[in-house]
Amino acid sequence: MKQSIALLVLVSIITLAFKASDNKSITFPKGWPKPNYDFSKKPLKSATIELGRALFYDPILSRNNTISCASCHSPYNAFTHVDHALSHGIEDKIGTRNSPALMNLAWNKLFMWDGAVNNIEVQALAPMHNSVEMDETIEHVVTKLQASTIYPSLFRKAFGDSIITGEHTLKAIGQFMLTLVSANAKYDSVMRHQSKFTMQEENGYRLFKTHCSSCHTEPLFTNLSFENNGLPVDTNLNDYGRIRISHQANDSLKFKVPTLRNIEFSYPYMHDGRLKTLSAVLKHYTSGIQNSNTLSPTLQHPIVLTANEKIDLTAFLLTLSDKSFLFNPHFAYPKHILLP
Amino acid sequence: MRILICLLLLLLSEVSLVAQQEKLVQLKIIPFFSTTSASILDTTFQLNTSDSIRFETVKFYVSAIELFSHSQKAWKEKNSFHLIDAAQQKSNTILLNIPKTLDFDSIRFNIGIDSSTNSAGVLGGDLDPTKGMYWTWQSGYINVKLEGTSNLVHSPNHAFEFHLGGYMAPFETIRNISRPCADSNEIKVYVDLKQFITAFNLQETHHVMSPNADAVKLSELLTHCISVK
Ligand code: HEC
Ligand code: HEC
Repeated sequence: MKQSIALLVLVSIITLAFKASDNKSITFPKGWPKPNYDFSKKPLKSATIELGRALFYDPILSRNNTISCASCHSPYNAFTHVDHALSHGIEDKIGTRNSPALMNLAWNKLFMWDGAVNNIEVQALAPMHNSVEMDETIEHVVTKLQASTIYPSLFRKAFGDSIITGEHTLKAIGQFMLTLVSANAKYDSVMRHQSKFTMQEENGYRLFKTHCSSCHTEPLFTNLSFENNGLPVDTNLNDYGRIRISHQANDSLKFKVPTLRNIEFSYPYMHDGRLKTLSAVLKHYTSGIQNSNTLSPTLQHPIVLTANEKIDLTAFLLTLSDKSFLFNPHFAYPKHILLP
Repeated sequence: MRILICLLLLLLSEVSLVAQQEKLVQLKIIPFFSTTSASILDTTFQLNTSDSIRFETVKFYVSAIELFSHSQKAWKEKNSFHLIDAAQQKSNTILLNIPKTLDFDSIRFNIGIDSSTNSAGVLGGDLDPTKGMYWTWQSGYINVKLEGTSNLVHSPNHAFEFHLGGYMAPFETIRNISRPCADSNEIKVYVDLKQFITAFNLQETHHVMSPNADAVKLSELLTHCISVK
C-alpha cells in the first residue's frame, strides 16, 4: 500500500513538473522592463505557439484563401509588408495604412497605429474582418478550420480539445506573436559589453540620445505612447490617428511611436508609408516638421544635424538590425505543418 | 489508506451537503414589443396606425447578476456573463443556483460588459468573438445589438442597426439595473422594445455602430424599458 501511495505521489510530481516545464514565457535580456502581457496568468505553451504559427502563415484565414497574415507581415522584413506604402490585401485591395513591423509585442499596451486594439489576443480579428485585408469572419474561419484535415488535432494538442472555438483560434495566433522577440542586434551586444560600436555608430548613438530617445526610448526603442511627430496630414487619407479611438481633441494627429528595431528592413516608413528611406526620415525630422496644436513639444525646436551627423545617426540605426530575429527558424513558414 | 477513505467520505458529504443547500431560480429575460405573446423576431409590429417595425436581431449581454436582501448583497453569480439572443430560445433562461436559505427582495445586473472584461483579451463561452458581439476594427464588446426594418427609416431597405457599446470614457455604455423582485423560483425581466424605439426619433437615429454619444444616450434609454416581475 505504502509503495503504491509513494508511486502515486511520484507520478503526480512528475506530471506536475512536466506541466510546469511546458508553461513557457518569453526570454528577454536583463534590464528590460517587465512585459505588459501577464505570462504568469497566461503562460505560453509550445503546442499553442506552433498552432498559432501555422495559422499566421495560412491563407485559410481569408475569404478566398489567398491572403495570410504573413502576406503583409513577412518574417524577412521584420514582419512588415516591404515596398508597399499602404498594405495590399485581398484581391489587391489597398488599405489606408502601412503594416507595422511585428516584434516585442508582449510589451505593447495598445496595438495599431491609433491604439484601436487593446490586447494582442484580439488583434487578429481586425485584419480577418477588414474588407480590404482578409474579408473573412471569425465564425467562418472556425468552420473552415474544423473541416480541415490538419487543424482539429493541432487544437487538441494545444488546448486538449479538438472542437475549435474563436477563443482558441485567436489565443493561438496571439501566443505565436508574443514569441516574436528581437533583442539580439549589434546594439544589444554592445550593451552587454560583447562588442563595440565604431566611432561613427558611437557618435550616432550620442545624437540619437539627444534627439530621438525621448520617444524612441531604449531598450524597446519606443515609449509606447502616441505622439504627433509633425507629419502633414495626407488630404486623401485624412487619417487623424489616435483621436478616432480616444475622442480626445488633444489626440488629433497622434500615432503610436513605432519601435526602431530592425528599421533597416521595415521600409517604407510612417503610418502611411510615405517615406521610403531613412535619409527621407532624417530630412523630415530636420526640415519637414509641420507645426500644429498637438505637435510634440520636443519637436517644436528644429533638430539640427550636419550631413555627417545624419550619416552617423543612420549608422547607429543600422546597429538595431537583428539577423537572428529575421532568420529565426522558429518564426519561419512552418513547412512541416502546412505542406503535405 | 484509512485517511484516504476518510478524506473521500468527507469530500462526498461536502458535495451532497452543498447540493442539499441549494435551490434553483430561473431568471427569464423577455424582450417584447406591445405583447409578450408574439415572437419578437420576424413579426411585423405596428408602431401606430401607419408605421410598422420588424426585428431581425435582438441580442444583448446580461452580466454580473446579484441578489440583494434588505439592501445588502446576499449572493452574486460567479463568472456571470450571459448572451441573450432572441434567435436562441434557450438563451433567454438563466439558471441561478442559490443557497436554499437565501431570501432576496431585489435583483441587480448589468446590461453590457464591464471595462476590465473588455480589455482582458480573448474569452470563451458567451464571450467568444464568434458570437458576433465583438467589434473587430477596434477592441470591445457590443453590449446590445438590435437590427431590423421600419418604413420610418429612410435608408437602403429601410434598415436600422443599433450596435450599442463602448467601455472607455467618455462613451461608457454599460448600465446597471436594480429592481425589487419577489422571492420566488422564477424572476421575469421584461425588456419593452416598443417603449425603447418610441423614446427617440427613429427617423433621425437609425444607425449607431460605434462608441459615441448616441450609443450612450440609447443605452441609457434602454434602462428605463426594463421591468422585473
Ligand atoms: C492586408 C494586409 C494585412 C494583413 C493580411 C494582416 N495585417 Fe496586420 N496589420 C496591417 C496593417 C495595415 C496594420 C496597421 C493597421 C492600423 O494601424 O490601423 C496591421 C497591424 C497589425 C498589428 C499591430 C502591431 C502594432 O505594433 O500595433 C498586429 C499585431 C498585426 N497586424 C497582426 C496581424 C495578424 C495576426 C494577421 C493575420 C490574422 C494580420 N496582421 C494580417 C496589415 C495587415
Ligand atoms: C516626439 C516623439 C518623437 C521623436 C522625438 C522622434 N520620433 Fe520618430 N516617430 C515618432 C512617431 C509618433 C512616429 C510614427 C509617426 C507616424 O507614422 O505618423 C515615428 C516614426 C519614426 C520612424 C518610422 C518608423 C516606422 O516603422 O515606420 C523612424 C525611422 C523614426 N521615427 C526615427 C526617428 C529618429 C531618427 C528620431 C530622432 C532624430 C526620431 N524618430 C524622433 C515619434 C518621435
